[in-house]
Amino acid sequence: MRRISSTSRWVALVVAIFSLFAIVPRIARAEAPRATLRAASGGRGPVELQREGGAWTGSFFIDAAGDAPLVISRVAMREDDAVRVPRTASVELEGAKTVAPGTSRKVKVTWNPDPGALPELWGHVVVTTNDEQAGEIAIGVHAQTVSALGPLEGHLLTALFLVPLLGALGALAFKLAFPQGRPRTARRVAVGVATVQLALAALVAWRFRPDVTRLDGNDGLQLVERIVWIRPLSVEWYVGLDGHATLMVLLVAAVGALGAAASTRIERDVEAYFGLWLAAIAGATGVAIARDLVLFVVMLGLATLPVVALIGGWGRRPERARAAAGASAVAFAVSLVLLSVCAALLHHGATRTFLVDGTAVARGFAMPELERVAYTRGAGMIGGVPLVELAFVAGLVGLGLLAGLVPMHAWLPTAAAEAPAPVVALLVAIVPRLGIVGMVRVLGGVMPEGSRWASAATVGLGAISALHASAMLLSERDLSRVAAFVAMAQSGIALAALGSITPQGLVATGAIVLGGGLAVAVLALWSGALDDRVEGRDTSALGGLFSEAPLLAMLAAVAFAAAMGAPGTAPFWGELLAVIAVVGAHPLLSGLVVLALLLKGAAVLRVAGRVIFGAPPDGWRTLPSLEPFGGKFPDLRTHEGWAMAPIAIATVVLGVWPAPMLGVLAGAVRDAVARANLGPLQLGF
Amino acid sequence: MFAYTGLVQRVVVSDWLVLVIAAPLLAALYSAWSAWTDDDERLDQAKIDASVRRVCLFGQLAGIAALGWQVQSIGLGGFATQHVLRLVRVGQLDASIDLALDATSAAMALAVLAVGAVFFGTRERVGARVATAGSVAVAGALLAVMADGAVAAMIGATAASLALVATSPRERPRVAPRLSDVALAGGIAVLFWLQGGAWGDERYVPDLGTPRVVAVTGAEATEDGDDGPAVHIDATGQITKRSDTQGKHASPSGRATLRFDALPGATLFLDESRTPLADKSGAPLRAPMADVSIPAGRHALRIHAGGGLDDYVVGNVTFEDGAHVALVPLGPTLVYRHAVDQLGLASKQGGSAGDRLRGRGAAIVVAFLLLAISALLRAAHGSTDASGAALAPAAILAPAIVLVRFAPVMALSSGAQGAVALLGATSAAISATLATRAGAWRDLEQRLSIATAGAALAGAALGSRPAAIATLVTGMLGIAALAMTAGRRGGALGDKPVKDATSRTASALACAAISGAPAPVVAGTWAAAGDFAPAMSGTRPALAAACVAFGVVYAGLVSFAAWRAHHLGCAKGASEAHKKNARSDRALLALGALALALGAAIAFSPRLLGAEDDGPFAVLFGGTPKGGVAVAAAALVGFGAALGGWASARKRYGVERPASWAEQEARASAHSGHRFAAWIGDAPALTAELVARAFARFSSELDAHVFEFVPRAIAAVAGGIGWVGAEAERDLVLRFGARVVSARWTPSRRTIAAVVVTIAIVVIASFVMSARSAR
Repeated sequence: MRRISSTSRWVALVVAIFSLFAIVPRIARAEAPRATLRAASGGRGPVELQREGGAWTGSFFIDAAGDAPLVISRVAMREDDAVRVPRTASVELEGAKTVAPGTSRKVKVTWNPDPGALPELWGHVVVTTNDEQAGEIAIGVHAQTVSALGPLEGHLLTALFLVPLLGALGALAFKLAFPQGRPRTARRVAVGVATVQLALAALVAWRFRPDVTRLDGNDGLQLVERIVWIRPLSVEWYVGLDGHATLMVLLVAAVGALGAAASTRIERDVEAYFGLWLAAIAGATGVAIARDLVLFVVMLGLATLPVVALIGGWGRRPERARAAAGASAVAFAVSLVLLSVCAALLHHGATRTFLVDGTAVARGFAMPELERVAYTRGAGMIGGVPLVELAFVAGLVGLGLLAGLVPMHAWLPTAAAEAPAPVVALLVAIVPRLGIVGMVRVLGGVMPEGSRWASAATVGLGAISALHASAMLLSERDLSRVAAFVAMAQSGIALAALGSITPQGLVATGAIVLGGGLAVAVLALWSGALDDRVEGRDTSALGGLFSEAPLLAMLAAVAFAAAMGAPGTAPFWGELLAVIAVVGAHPLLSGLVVLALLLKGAAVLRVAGRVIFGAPPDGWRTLPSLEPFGGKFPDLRTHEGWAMAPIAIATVVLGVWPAPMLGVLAGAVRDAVARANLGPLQLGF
Repeated sequence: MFAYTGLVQRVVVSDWLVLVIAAPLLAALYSAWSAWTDDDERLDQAKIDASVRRVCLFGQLAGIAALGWQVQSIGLGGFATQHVLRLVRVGQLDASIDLALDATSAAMALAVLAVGAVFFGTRERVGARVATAGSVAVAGALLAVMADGAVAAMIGATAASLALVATSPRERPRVAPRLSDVALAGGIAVLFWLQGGAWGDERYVPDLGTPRVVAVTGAEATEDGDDGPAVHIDATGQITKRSDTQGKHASPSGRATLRFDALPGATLFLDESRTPLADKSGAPLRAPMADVSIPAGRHALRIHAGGGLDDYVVGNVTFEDGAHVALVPLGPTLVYRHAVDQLGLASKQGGSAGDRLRGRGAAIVVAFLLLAISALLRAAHGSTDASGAALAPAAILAPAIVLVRFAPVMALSSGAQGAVALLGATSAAISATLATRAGAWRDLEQRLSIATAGAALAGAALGSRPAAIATLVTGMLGIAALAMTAGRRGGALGDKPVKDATSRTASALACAAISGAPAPVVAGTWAAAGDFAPAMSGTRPALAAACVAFGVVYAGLVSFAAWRAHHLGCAKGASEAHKKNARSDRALLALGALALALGAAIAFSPRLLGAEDDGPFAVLFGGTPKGGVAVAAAALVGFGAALGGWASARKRYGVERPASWAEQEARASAHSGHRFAAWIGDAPALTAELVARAFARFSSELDAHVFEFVPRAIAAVAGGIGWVGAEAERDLVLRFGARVVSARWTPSRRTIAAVVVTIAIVVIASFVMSARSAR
């Protein structure tokens, strides 16, 4: 028997393998149908519905791309255990369910919006076929009703973000074009841009409908915009509005505009200052509206980086300011890293979903999709620790750094002491509230299981934070640091309220976001007015302002009353609801919260009493800083009035009539409570 | 068939209650506008002051007129409510600014307005700032006493406190009112949750089987007091006793009437109807609503509260022809009326809200202790200086009504009653003791206010609400009158006595009122002992003795303190100023008389305050039919103690007092128990301050040595980086023979622009690439 050479054997083996690789796929292709979806206008989607009579319609095609006939078993709007799209949307397959290879079937999507329904539709149509390899496939659909806003309709939130961002780029361009600088023009343009954003924010708040919930579709969000941003990472530009976001947007825009108006003492590198200011405002707006976790983290970076530069670049005492900026930068960096870790963990535990155009992805970063993932303790373990617990801790620490929670707070009072007054307003009114909004959205929204797991610990941490900040207030004399400690205490109370997982707690966080933010903002701006007059913010040298400068004293009285959380001011509602929430959920820990409020009230009142009441201190008339004013403390100036009075008035109005502030949270709270599985009876009033 | 039966308060919906508060508020707006007027445009300052005073006085008088009109329209025993503003509706928490007018709030509102009217009426001129703050203080106090819920009362109380502070900006405000706010918030939070539901390990567990709203038929308290007895429903829902008023609501066409005064703004849908119940014009009816005509028969009522809440259905309600049906909320609430109403309702199975609450005694104790502490701290605010001294009693005593209103809930726990009574009585006794040695008007007023609030709390805790209200009302009027007469000049007692006869008479009347006020409390506490003592089995004699002893001590001390102030603050001999201010003094006289008359009227006819018992001396002698003689004796002993206080004060501080009375008093104080009382009175505040300071120091040390370590380390690192950066920024000079190359890099404008443009391009490209890859 002739032996086959080894070479021949190897050649035969290689040929056989190649043949196998060449033939098997052909056999497989020939036997497997393949389904793809294509919008009528071409491309993937989302399919834009157009108005046709009283309805909105659009269509897409199911292409049988394989060699075998495609059998369509199901075409429907994407739904699962919860509503995803408005109920009045429907889908209809035109023609038979079997599609010959190389041909297409048309699918018609119709939306009949009810009068008074949401003016937009975002969703997916899912198609199930005998293409087992593809599984369930989808294409996005979108419809937008028209209104008097024209092209702006449907892009309001992006405009809200872009206006200050373009303003920031404009400021930079201005500096490049005019190296010698034109500070007055730059200041006016910046204030104008911030005012435009404030007007847009007011429009957004006016358009927002408080009673919308997930049952109305669009994941309970309004003014949604969604496109794919970084496809390989499944990251989307996904923005939308809920109750907390609406309050935050209003706060950011108000502080942005009024803080810019109050930045009259900035004389060096004015263009750069306002450029950074507007960039920070744009970033904070982005955080408020972001619905994609990566976008959220990116926006946090955009919001915090300029703040660091503002502290370091325009601080009161350059050396110390640079150190404070460094501390803030590290805090923000650690926060971003931890939030990235949190995002990665949540992404790791996520399930298959679709991007806005219908692209199926193994995992995404869209928060409404992550909110649907059951991150139970059995969902995944890393190093023996449940994934959700790791993600929760990472998120809590990351956001706690921003919120100024103990023991991660040290950067906040340090930075506040060195920053110029408008930047202090940004630091104490905006940055900690970014942390609070993040906690509501990421910890409470995406990880209700984690919130429940850590409920007592969260309330305890919040209460201790509030207690520590309040105790620090007792011995504090620097007005900016007072504002920082008040903001810290508010953050602690908000965390305690959130940790209670009660409807009252969730509303409390909203009230602390807007009401508390306004209170500390006016306090910070007031510290600037003080700084302008006596070149310092030490309250121990002050006294008797009521008789010296009554208007300024009145504003201070409102600011201090709000900082105390006195009834009749906006923050009171946050604190009252927080107490009610924590008493209900964790009665023993509620004692700490009450104690913190007692201390905070007493401490702020001490400062207020020292500054506003009593007689002017001895030697007041001979103070060198008051020499230009003839020894008399100048009363409120016009630009100061414009910057502070609107916030003070809003603080009082929302304190006496909180329904507009608390009412916008109705839908968001209802959704959050449903996700936290508190049961309908609790809400069923 | 009705699942729940019992007694609920009949309510009339009014549209005009708000006028009572709006009148002084409008006056405040006018004053504020006057203060705002530019200097250049100002008229003569004196004219402005006079016009402000007149407008403010008119505001108070208009408030009194509106109050009288409303009381007249609802009748003396009626209850009117008005929804003004919704504050918050979250889950079961529903808080609004709703006003309530009944005998209790009317009496207190009248006292507040009377103080305000005399305050503005007795001044020839008043500055716009003081006028604004004064009017706001009156409006705040009115809101506190007329609010139909604790949250609105809290807002009113704080407004009054802050306004009081603003009357005298030279005085630093006390911390007590803010602590009072927080204690009140804590108290109402505990009170809210203890009324229903519980928090388990993972979720809120409502009271199983307990509906949130129930229908109750005919079982209402009488509307105007003379409609006969209320209807009672037996356990099966059968009416056992019909009210005479039912005939008024009967309709020949087979109709019943419906009332729903909870959840302001809510609409009602009958059966499957898609449109809410509407009035004759077709406009939807919104809660609060009363006397809504409904077709007789069996109906389901759907309540749409809005605000993101589920609709709630009250099913299978039988509306009999001519029946009057009320929808009553059950469960957690901060509305006084709803909290009290549900205590009187029992389910068919026999369970009631009261049964549930009895099992939560510890929580009730905590809640009411916090409310009591809040009331005492508020009273400790005192006045600031002479500007607002007259208004202070009205502003700081009004918030005590919160505890008085919730007192029926407190009655479910003997522990809570005992704790509050003990706290109130102790505070009253200590403050009254301290008041007998007060050296300044400010201290005297503060201590008398605390004593009054403490006595009222003790009265309310022991079940005598009319006595508590009587104490508060006479305290408000009496202390205010005393402040405007003997204490008009402020400062130290006896320094600048008032010399005109009218002021002296008004002051004497005020002292009489203050002295008489304890008498109802003595009787009231004694009267309540009949209900309270059985809960303390075997201790009834001790309790009764304690009540009498407290009454005697309190009456004697307060009387002594008030008459001492009178003698030190008033001296004989008319002055020229008196002749000019004769008209003002007559107003003062009227206030003193009113203080006496109102206290006496309440004492002699408790029905003014809504008490069930009627007839002369009912507060003094009613409530304990078995022990009438003993009660009368106790009351007389208390009154005797007050007389003893008067006689003692007259002897010591009257016209013939020695010139060196102050030194003698100081020496006596050094050796008496007064110092001990002062120590006890100051101990809580001193201890709290000590603890707070220690905690603040601990926190500062913690921050400085532990928490700030990280930023300091970062700062050090940043400094290092800065040094490295500075080094890097130095010119890097390289020499290649004779050729020198500088490597210093300073970004040009073009470079910065390029970097920014590159970032922008990358971001935009990422969007574009994603869009392209989708195709």
